[in-house]
Amino acid sequence: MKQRFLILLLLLPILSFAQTNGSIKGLVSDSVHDYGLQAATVTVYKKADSVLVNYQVTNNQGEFNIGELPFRTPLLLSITYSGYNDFSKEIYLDSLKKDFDLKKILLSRDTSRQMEEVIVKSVVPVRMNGDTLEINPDAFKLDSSAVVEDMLLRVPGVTMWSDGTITVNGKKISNVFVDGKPFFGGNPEIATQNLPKTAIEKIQVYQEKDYSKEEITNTEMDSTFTMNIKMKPEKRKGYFGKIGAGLGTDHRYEGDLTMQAYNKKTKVAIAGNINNTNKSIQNVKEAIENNTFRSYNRRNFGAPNANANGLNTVHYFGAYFHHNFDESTNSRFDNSINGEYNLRDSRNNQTTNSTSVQNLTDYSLTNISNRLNTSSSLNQSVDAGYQNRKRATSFALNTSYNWANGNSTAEGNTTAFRNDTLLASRRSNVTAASSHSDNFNFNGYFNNNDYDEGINKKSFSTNYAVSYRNSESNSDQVSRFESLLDSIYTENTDRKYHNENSNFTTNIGLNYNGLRSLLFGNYNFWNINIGLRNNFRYNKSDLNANVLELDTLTSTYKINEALTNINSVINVENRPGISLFKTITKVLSDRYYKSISIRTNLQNQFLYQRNTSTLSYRNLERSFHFFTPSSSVYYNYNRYNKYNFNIGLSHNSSATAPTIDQLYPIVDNINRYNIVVGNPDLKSPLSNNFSFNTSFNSQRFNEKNTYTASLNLGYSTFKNGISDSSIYGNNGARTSYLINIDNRRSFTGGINTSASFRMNNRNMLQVRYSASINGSRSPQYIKTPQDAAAVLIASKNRNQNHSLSLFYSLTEVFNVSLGETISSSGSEQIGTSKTPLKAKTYGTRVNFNLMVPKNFQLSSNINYLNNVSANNASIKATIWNAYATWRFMKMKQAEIKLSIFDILRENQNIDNFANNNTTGTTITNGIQQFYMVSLSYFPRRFGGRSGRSGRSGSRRSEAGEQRQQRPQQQFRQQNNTQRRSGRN
Amino acid sequence: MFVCGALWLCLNASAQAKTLYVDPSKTVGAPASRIFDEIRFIPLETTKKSLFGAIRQLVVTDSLFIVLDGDTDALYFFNKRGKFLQKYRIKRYRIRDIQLDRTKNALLIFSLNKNYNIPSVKVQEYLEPESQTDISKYAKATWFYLDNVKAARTEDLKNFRYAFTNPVRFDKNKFAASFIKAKRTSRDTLDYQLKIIDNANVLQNYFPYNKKTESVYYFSGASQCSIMPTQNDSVLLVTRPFQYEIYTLTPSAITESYKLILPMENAVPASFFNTGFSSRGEMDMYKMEHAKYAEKIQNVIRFKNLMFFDLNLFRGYNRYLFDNKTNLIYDYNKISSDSSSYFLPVSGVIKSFDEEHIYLSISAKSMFNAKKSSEYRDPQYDEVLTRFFETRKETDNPVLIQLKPKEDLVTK
Repeated sequence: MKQRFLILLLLLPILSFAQTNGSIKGLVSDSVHDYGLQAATVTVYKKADSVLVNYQVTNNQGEFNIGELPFRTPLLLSITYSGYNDFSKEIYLDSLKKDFDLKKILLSRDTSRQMEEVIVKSVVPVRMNGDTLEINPDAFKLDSSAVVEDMLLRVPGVTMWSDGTITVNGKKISNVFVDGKPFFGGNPEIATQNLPKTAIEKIQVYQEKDYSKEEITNTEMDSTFTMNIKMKPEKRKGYFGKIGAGLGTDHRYEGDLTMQAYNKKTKVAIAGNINNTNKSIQNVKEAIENNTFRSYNRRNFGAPNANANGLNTVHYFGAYFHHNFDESTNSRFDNSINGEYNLRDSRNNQTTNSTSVQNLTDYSLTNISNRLNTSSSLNQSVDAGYQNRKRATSFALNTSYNWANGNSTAEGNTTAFRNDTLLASRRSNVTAASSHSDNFNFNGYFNNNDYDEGINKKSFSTNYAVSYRNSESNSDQVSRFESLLDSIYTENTDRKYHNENSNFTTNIGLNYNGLRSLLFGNYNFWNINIGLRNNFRYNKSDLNANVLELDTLTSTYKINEALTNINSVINVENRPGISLFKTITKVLSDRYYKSISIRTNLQNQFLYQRNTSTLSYRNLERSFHFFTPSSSVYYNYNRYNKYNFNIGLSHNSSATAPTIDQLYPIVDNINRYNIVVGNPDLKSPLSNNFSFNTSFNSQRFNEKNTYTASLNLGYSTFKNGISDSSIYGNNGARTSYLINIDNRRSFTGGINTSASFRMNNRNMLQVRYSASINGSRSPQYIKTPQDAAAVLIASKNRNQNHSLSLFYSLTEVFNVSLGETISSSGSEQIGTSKTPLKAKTYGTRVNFNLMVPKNFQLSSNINYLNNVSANNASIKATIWNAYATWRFMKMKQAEIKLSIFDILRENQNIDNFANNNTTGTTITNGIQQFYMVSLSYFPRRFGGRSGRSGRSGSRRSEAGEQRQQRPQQQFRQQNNTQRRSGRN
Repeated sequence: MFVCGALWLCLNASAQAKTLYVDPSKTVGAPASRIFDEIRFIPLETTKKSLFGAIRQLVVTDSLFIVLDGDTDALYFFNKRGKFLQKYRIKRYRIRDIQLDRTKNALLIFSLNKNYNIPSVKVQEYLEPESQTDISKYAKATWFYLDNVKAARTEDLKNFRYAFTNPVRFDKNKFAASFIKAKRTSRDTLDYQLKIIDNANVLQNYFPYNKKTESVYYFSGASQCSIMPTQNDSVLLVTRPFQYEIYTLTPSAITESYKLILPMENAVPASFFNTGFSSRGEMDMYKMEHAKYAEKIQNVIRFKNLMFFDLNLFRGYNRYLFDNKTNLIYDYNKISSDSSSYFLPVSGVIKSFDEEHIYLSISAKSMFNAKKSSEYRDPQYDEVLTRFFETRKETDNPVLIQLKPKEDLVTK
């Protein structure tokens, strides 16, 4: 009932309208029994071309009053009602006769036809069918090439947010399905930006349980809103894709090929991409997201990634396969297999300049470094999975294998200054590395939900995962360290590393939810659910490291005994626990719904660790055990027809054993600026994490505006946190000893607010503000040569990010968005005399899209960045891009696009960072100015070959479009004689 | 012998049954004034103590309205003008059913202990004649005497096993009860869908079924017979799950009074009974896939020539009004409000009836919404409604709608 009520709320806004021009009113009545016919559909068309002007459903008394009708246009009014002959009348309105009253219209029963009623009914744009809101595509007159998203933009109550989120009257749509199933990986855009409006029978919006959750507790938080796109039966088979190529200045190129085919049970996709324009394609899903039919997309898929570091060349090929064993269109059930293959060959050239400042007790140390990096890699992966979800059980198996080869070379120079001026040391290094790895993963789960009568005796879930990784790497590293303050040394190191590594992990989880009925029988123990949990994890990691070092005397490579070793480590973890869960709900029908859920997990953590090594000091065997409880409280208040409010508070704790490389590391001195020395006395750090979140969203019907706000706070403390005791040399070299220090803590906070205002059917304004702040306090010891003893300092770091954006759209004409972001990071060392360090980035972004004239689109975006780094240097960059596209051919299947990227040639990537006592800025080269012309063709066909033309996809679709647009007209012609009898 | 007796009665009865052809797409509607002689809205007083959610059950006596609210698990007593008199809850118990016991001038209340979840398999065990378990702490039957509501005088019927099944008072000191449950592992095969019992023993049995093999009755949520009171204590109306007959039960016999014939798309086919459901999931799946099949007829109320009834589908329900005289079937949802109801809605579930009226309820929010959408008609409200709209809020208690059906309906 509640569900129905909620859905009903979704429908209400469309029932309100404002009367602007002319109007027609009347009363629709049964001709025999003379009573008002409720919910009869009254539609007004333009007589000339049958374009829908406005429609209405009659009220409880059978009355209608349709406004917003144009003057001096011949109109056709049509009334249809299930089981009755329809009625139509020509009407002409002007300023003298602007309101037309048809008075009582008597409809007569139609006894001859049953089947065609379906067509008649389907012209209502939005209606309720039980608990489901149904959107009818035929009611929206759009261009024949329009896709689902073009239509959704016009549906009252549906808001397409600028970040891709879809809400229906304030309620966020979590899943977009096609015929009850995720469509090519589940991203909404793949369905909404590819499927033509004409292939759709209807779109349904309904509330359902979140079946992906392990435990369904019947509270509001388990519910999600789903949008299901129901295809017309004859369109449940088809293909679509894109073939495109572009050439640009500066030797830029790109090529795309995506092809997706589907039928009732099977979906197949292939995707290929080659580019040197910093488009990152990792998998099939990403490739097809980047190449949807709709030329404008809000998330700007397919554009070069301006934030990618360096210059990248990617050659990608992938294939995807999904097969359902049954044709069920119910999203609750699933019995399917899927597979994917990916091949990715990539090259990266990167230049990085970074400046970092470390605050020490009495001076600061500035490191300026530059680095040139080239790398190439070939990655391949094969994935396969099987899912079976039934009403009470769900079962899944997934397996993946991937193998990768990589080569890289890097050259870097670092110079360290004391207090920005005094040259302390220099380091240069050259690295050449190659690696090969094989990974195998397998995981699965089985859940049994014994929901019959709420007894839960047989409710349990299990999950299993195993992964194996085998890798081999070679790297040659040459490093020269010159100390300029110490009188003594300059150090040259030339080493060849050869590592062979294998890693095996397995994880088994068991949950049993029926303990209460097992213990207490019929007694429900104050409605507290009791479950048993156990998670077991085993990990074995083997390393065989061979390190050769150049002996300068003999100019030969000799084995470095200190670094060469064979090591094997085993970690075993077991977490048994008991969980208690209770929900209290209070409902007052039509007024409010309140619920509070309390959950606590009382669990223990057992850790066992064994290390065996050829280096005798690294042989050890240890075990630990901790009490690591976790709890949460969640409160939900839903005021019907007003708002929904949630608050949650949770706590969890966990411990990690210090690793062997923290206890007894193999000290490698190749990088003098960071030498880590372990500490065999390290204890296990125990973290306690608290989080708080609250959210509010308006749920008022009859309102065209929606508001949402959410706040998240997190706080973590560490007992025995592992931190540094760093000893700095005069030359800036650093050796850090790991120690346990209490009082390490961190917090995060975030606010998100958004509001959407729909002025009328076409004008929409969205405002969003989001802010995040996070900070940490990390105590550590620092000792410089000037200090007599190590000094305890605490580094306080803060990062803040604020962003405000405005988005205005006039459907089909243009949209514009404006954004302003400010982010800052700062670091302060308490216990030193140094002033806090701060870095800030200001960003201003403008994005403009013009969609007229028809088939043309012009868009441009400008992103202005001003970065002020920790040492007060200001770097400014304006990244300005512009695109022009033209769609042609009958179904707009061809596209020419001109892109100008980085018109001002200023693109680079700037990042600020702060950790412990270090603050810095990194600047990496990015792709810069180029012009490109690209040509694309979108092969498409929806529906089988058995149709009338059966030749080209475009003609089929068009024929379909014509059929859909004029069901009324055809219907009228067929039944001309009968209609007359229904006229009053 | 009992089986034979019951069967014979059925066969005998079917000869006189009236057959109704109910096609949901062929029903008619009417304005409210054509169906009802008189429409009254009775707001139920809202005080801090009397605030409740929605009316789950309503009992109407000569002087009282008694409301069972599922949201607050309590009974609310109002006088006939809607003035609040008394609130009553049974501590630790959830009230499941209330009915009027005229012989005792009491309200008979069936409730279950909130601290226990008794699965239907257990209930079935407790109902076995040889069962020794004292069920008093699980289920309760309580008489609340109505002579002085404020006094809240009650009496418990101890260890009444059928209290689990919400039996209906019948023929002075008997009950009519239905508990249908089949189990694959059941030892016996024969059981009855409808039983006439006294406080401890089964007196009569009707409608045999196989409690080992009939898979449609395996799972909880399996439908029971609907047993509906009439104005006469010795006459009850009975319907069965997945069957479309309406029976009249009297102390001496059960007779088939009406037989509904539904279109193919709404009638459960014979194959449903032979499907052999092996799990509740399978059964639920079937119901989801055949949402339009009718599960049962419910809420049958007869007034001379008129009969109100609900047709429950696997998903959703339809409500009808049958006029015996004209043989017309009205879709209750097509009865539209008009000036006789001040353009306020008269649709919804029939919550109760007395000799002359049926009673529906409407939330205060819907009242205000309806007022708003009919404002342009400028309806002239009576004194009660005028005061209601002036002084009450959207969050107040629901309003009762008292409707007096006409003796003879005119069709136009």
